[in-house]
Amino acid sequence: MEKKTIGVRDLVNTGIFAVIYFVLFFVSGMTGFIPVMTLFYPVVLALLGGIPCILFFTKTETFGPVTILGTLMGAITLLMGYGPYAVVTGALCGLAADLILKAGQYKSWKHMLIAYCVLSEWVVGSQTIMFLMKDAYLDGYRVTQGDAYADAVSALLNNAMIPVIIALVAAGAVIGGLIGRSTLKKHFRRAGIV
Amino acid sequence: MEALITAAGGKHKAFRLDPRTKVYMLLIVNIIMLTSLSDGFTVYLKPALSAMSFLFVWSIGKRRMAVYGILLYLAASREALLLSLFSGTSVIGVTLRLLAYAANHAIPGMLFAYYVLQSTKVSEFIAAMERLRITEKFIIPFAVIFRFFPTVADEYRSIRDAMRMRGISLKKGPVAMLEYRLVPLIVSIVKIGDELSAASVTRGLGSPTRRTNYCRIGFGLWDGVFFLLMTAALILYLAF
Repeated sequence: MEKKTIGVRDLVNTGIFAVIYFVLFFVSGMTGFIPVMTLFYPVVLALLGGIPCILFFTKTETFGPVTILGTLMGAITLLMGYGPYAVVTGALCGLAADLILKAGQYKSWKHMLIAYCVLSEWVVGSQTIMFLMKDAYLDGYRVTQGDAYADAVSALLNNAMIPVIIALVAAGAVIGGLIGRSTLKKHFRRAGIV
Repeated sequence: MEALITAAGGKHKAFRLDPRTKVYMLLIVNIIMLTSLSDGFTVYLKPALSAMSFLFVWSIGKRRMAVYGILLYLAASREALLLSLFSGTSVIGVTLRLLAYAANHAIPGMLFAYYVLQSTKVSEFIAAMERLRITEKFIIPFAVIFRFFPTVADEYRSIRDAMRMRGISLKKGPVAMLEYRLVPLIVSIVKIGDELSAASVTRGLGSPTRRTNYCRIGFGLWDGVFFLLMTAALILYLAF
C-alpha cells in the first residue's frame, strides 16, 4: 500500500463524523438527566457510536483523522462547559486509537474494534469535573431533585467508580462495534458509501 | 444557508461581534450554567446570563425562538410552583423535576450556541481560527461541523417525515427506530460531505498557498465590552 498523507477529503470526513458522533453524544447525554445515568451515559454513547465510528474507521486510510476526531470532541465538550479534561483524554484516546488502527494497516477488523473501545474512553474525561466538584454537584441535585436522588448519586460518585465506568464503556464499545459492523454489512456496503 | 447569510451580513452591521468573542462568551455561559452551584453569587449570574442569551437570539431576528426559550426557562425556574401541585415522588412530579432541571441548565447555553451558529458565517469562522494560528487540520473539520449542524437537523426532519409516512415509529421498537433513522441520516450526510469536499478542493482549500478571506474580522468596542463583562462574570463565579 502506498503511503498517503492526510488530505482535504479526510479532514472533511472527520468533520462529518464528528457531527454525527456529537449528535449521538448529545442524545446519550440527555439520558444523564436521570441521576444514575449521569455516571453511565458514556456506555450509551459507546453503544450508539459504533455505527458511525466503525464506518469512519473503514473510510480512514491515513494516520491522523481519528486523533483529530478525539481532540475535536474534547474541544466541543470544553465549549459546552464540561471542563478542559476531555481535551486531554480526547487527544490521547484518539491518538492511541489511531496507532492501533495503523498497526492493523487500517484494514483489520480486530484492530478497529480495539481502537473503537479505546476511543470511546475519551468521554470519561468529560466526567472528571463531576468527580472533582462532587460536593457542588450534589448540592445542585439536593436542591433540584430532592435528598433521595442526591444520596443515590453520592453513593455512586466515589473514585472507585472510575474503573467500573471504564470497563463498562469498553464492554459497551464491543457491543456497539459489533452493531456497527453488522450495519456496515447490511446497509452501507449496499448503499455504496464505503 | 441563505437565511444564515442575510442574518449575519444584512441589516445587523451596526452590532457585530468577532467570532472569537462569541466563542469565549459561549464557553463562559456554559461553564456557569452547567456546573450546578445554586448558592452564592450564581443566583444572580444565572438569570443575567440567560437574559443575555435571549437578547442575543432576539437581536438576530429569531424572535420566536427567543420567546419559546424564555418561556421554557421561566417555567423551569418556577418549577416549585408546578411541583406543589403534584407530589415529589409521583411519576409526573419526577418527570417535571427532570425536565425542569434540564431546561434550567441547558437552555441558555443552547440558545447562545444557536445565536453563535446563526450569526457567524463559515468564512468568518475560518478567518477567526486562522488568526488564532490553529492548524488547518483542525480548522477544516471544525468548519465542517459548524456548517453541518443545520444540515443534520434538516436531513433528520426529512427522514423522520419519510419514516412516519411509512409507519415506522416507536412501536417497532427502539432498535428498529435507531436503524431506520440513523442509517439513512449517515448515508445522506456522508454523500453531502463528499460533494462538500469536492467543492472545497475546487475553491482551493488544502492548497499549499495561504488563502485570502473575504470576511473582515477584528475586535471592536463591543468585543472589548463583552470580553470584560464575561471575564468579570467568570471571576465572580469562581470567587463567590
